[in-house]
Amino acid sequence: MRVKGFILLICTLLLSGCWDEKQYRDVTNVSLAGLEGTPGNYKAQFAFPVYVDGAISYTTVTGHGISTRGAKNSTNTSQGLDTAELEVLLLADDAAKNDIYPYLDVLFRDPRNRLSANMAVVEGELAPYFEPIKGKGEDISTFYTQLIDTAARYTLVPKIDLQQTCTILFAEDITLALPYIRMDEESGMPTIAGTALFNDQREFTGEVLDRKESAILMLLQKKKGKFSRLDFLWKEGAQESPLSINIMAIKKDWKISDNQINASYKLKVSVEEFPHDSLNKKKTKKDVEDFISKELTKNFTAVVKKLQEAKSDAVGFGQPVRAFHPKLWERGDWGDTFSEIPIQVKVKVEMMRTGILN
Amino acid sequence: MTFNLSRNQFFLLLFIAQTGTVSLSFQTPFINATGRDAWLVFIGVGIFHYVLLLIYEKNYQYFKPGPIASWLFIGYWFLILVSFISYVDYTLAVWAFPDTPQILVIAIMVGISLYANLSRAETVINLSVILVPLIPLFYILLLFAWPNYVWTNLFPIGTLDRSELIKGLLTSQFTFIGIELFLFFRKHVDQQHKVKGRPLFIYQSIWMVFFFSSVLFTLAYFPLVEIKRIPEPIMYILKTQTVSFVERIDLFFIYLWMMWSIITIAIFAFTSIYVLQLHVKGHRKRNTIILHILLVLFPLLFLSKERVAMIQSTLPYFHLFFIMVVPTIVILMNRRKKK
Repeated sequence: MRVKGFILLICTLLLSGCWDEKQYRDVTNVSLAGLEGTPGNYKAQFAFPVYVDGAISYTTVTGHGISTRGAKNSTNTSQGLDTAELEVLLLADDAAKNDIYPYLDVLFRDPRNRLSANMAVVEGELAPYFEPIKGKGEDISTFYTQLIDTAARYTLVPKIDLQQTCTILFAEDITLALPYIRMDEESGMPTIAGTALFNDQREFTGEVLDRKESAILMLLQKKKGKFSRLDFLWKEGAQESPLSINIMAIKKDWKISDNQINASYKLKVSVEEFPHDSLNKKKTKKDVEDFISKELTKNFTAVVKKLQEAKSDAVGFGQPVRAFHPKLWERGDWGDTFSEIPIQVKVKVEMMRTGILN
Repeated sequence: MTFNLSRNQFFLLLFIAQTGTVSLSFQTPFINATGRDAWLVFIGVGIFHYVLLLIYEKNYQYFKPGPIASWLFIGYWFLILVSFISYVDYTLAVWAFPDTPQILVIAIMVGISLYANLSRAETVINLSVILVPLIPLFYILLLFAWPNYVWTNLFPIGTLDRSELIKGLLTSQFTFIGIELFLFFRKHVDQQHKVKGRPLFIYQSIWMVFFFSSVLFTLAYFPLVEIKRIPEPIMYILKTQTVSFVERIDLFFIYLWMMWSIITIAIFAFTSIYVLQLHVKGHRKRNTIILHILLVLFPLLFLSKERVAMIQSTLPYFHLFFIMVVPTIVILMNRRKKK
């Protein structure tokens, strides 16, 4: 009996005290938040579900800063807003052009907040991104979560949550890169446009990689999603053939000296589309491998050049430099050094599979 | 108080006493003092820990503290207990129970220790067994963060100066707290069970892996600047992990850590009563109750962050005195007496 009583006493520690109970009727969970404006004039927007006529609909309110404290007074809901279950945080591009950490601090400091919320930069003002999306229901936070998750699964954008954002913002040897969303002119729907590049001052540089460049950035980082498809147009004399590949594995080998970085990548790929066929012939296979290697070397080099121009080391070349090459690291601000140092990229492709056709 | 310990019981008791509360708190001050060299310094610290265990093992028969030394130890453990309870309560108030009255949380924690200490000696000794399946689980949860560990964060090394090294060695002493229990309980280990040699080395290895990996994980996960902002980095790593079956792994772990700490508190309280009984015969029940009442009241004086930090900053100095100076004096005096 004493043992049972003792075990019960220990088990009570696993129960939360009634003082700390938080019921859904007392709080309204914000699932989507956004920040726009400039220093001293930041405005936040929150989207959350409300019950109207027995059905759930979503509404938005504005406040100052990401903290929901400022928003409580301006809301018509009788409950306090709570960011503990935040799913997506959007930053308008004008807000992201300044050091964003001070406004995110409140999300990191409160232990109740979820740090796995997705982050993205949006083009222009926030308001249109908070409006219900035609044909997608009212739950816009789920829409953004799915949009970013799908793009990350297809290796189109980095999947960076709040915690990873914070860690990269504090790292001196890598800079932040977030998914960039804009309104599609034709459909009027938010769509992934590429990747927003940040500098080592924690500011959005204004440079955006398009979707293809964005996918290359992911490969440079060796961060492949579940699928990683690239398309080319193969030419042999007058003949042309579409060529699609899926990246199966990536190996990187960086050789860093005090005045140059040589970045070699070995990619194992499978062919997804190649109507020209004849991949069972050694010559064709080698020709295709050489062709893809050459194209990817060109693409990788172009993306690295763009990163250097933006002084944005989103790949993380600075990490081994800081760790093992003190002379190069101490040359000055890493953003400047990175933008000036020659970086040679070489990609070698090995075709592992050709699908169920030759 | 008469009781016998098996070798496993002895090592488990020692491990829980050494790891309980400090498993969450020592990484940040240690890394702040030693920077990226933290992991390298900790290898040296580990060697020192092993040497200390070997010395204890060789001389434990001569460790028979008189009343003065015993009262000094009791005072030292009381300081440790107050420090641990204040820290656990502060951390729980921040992470899990912000609105629950702090005295209630302290009373429940100390109440469990009181219950265990009023029972037979075996109750406290075997309490640690509850944690055996949970500690590996804690490790598995930490490994979920593997893709986010950046191993270049561990370098460059060798940038430490002397004052930083001394500060680092002092802060590393938190991981030693409880090692002195070896001297008190070693004689209770069943004579047929060998402690010297391989068993002691295995214990040292487990201690080393536990603390060393927590330093490695913290360094690899966070940039140095970020570590300065995070007092409980291991909790933070767990908080960032998403698994489909638990929304907040950190909350699951903080309850586990609370149980761990309560058992540590019960072990230190048990040791205090045990040493007291060596010199003050009888009144065990009364003394146990008085000690636990004091353990509820004293931590109430140290509930703010500054006061918790203040009491913790004094611990390494006291600790060095009680694991090195006092045992050396007691052992040398008894060796001389025997001659």
